[in-house]
Amino acid sequence: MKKTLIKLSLLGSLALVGCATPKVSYVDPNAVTTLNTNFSQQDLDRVAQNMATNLIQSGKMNQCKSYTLSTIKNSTDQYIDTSSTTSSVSDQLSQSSAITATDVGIVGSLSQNQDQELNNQQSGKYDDSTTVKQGKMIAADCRLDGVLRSDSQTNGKQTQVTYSFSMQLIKIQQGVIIWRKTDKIAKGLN
Amino acid sequence: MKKLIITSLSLGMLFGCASSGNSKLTSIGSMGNIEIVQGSMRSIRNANGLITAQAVLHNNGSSTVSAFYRCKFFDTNQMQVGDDQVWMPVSIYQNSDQGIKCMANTAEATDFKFEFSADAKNVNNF
Repeated sequence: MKKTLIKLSLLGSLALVGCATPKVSYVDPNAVTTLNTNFSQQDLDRVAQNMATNLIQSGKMNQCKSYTLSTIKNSTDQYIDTSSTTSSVSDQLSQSSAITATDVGIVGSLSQNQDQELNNQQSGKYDDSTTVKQGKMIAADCRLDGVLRSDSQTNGKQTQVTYSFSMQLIKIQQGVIIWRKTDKIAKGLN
Repeated sequence: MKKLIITSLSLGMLFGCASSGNSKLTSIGSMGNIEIVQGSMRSIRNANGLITAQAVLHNNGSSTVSAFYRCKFFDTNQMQVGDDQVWMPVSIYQNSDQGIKCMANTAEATDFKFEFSADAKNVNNF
């Protein structure tokens, strides 16, 4: 009797759990995500939007003829692909009609691709009249630097993580900071 | 029949896109204890030719509300300009005012609309 009951319970559990098919659906990438206190894609978009808006509104970007974005430094204890933050800020700036500066932000892997293509064109394989020449790239007048930091406070089951995202716009020739802003996002778990 | 109509209307008010009485604000779900401070919703065009929209929210309740907002911008033909923005969190403390603002990134934007959710559940995927 006992064995039969165990068998029936097992079969019942299998029917409930085993046959359930996970359902995949498209969701809004802009929706609020409160699954955990980690720095999410939405947080990234939020800080990028805030930073770009503030920079556009300040008008300081138009003191630069051209600019480049350094890869944002990750000083948190999480793995965060900060190149997507850089791309997001760059997207917002380049889409704004109020920014007259040219984005010459070829850094990281993009810079390697550019070097590779320039070297390839100088390799002697191509008609010289059609190849690009070395030393003709436009240098950046300004540079946007950024750093992401985090601070975690825990008390029993309660946790608060505060992310600080700082950006600064630097005139490269003079080495002076012409704009600076820090934006904070705090996430609590209780 | 009368009961059915009243029930439907009540449900609509509870769960639908509630109108705040302001054509420039759409509330996703109920506004709860939050209201727009009268005359606070306006927009200005800054030196760059971009419009900034702002409003002041007031919490009539006795506890802090963790709400979310975002803006949509429109051109002179009332066509949306730019992509949908990400939701911005805002904490509105009890019996207090809290300002919110957004800026368009293109000079084509001439009009705006705030979207507001007093509850994270209404704008959450999970």
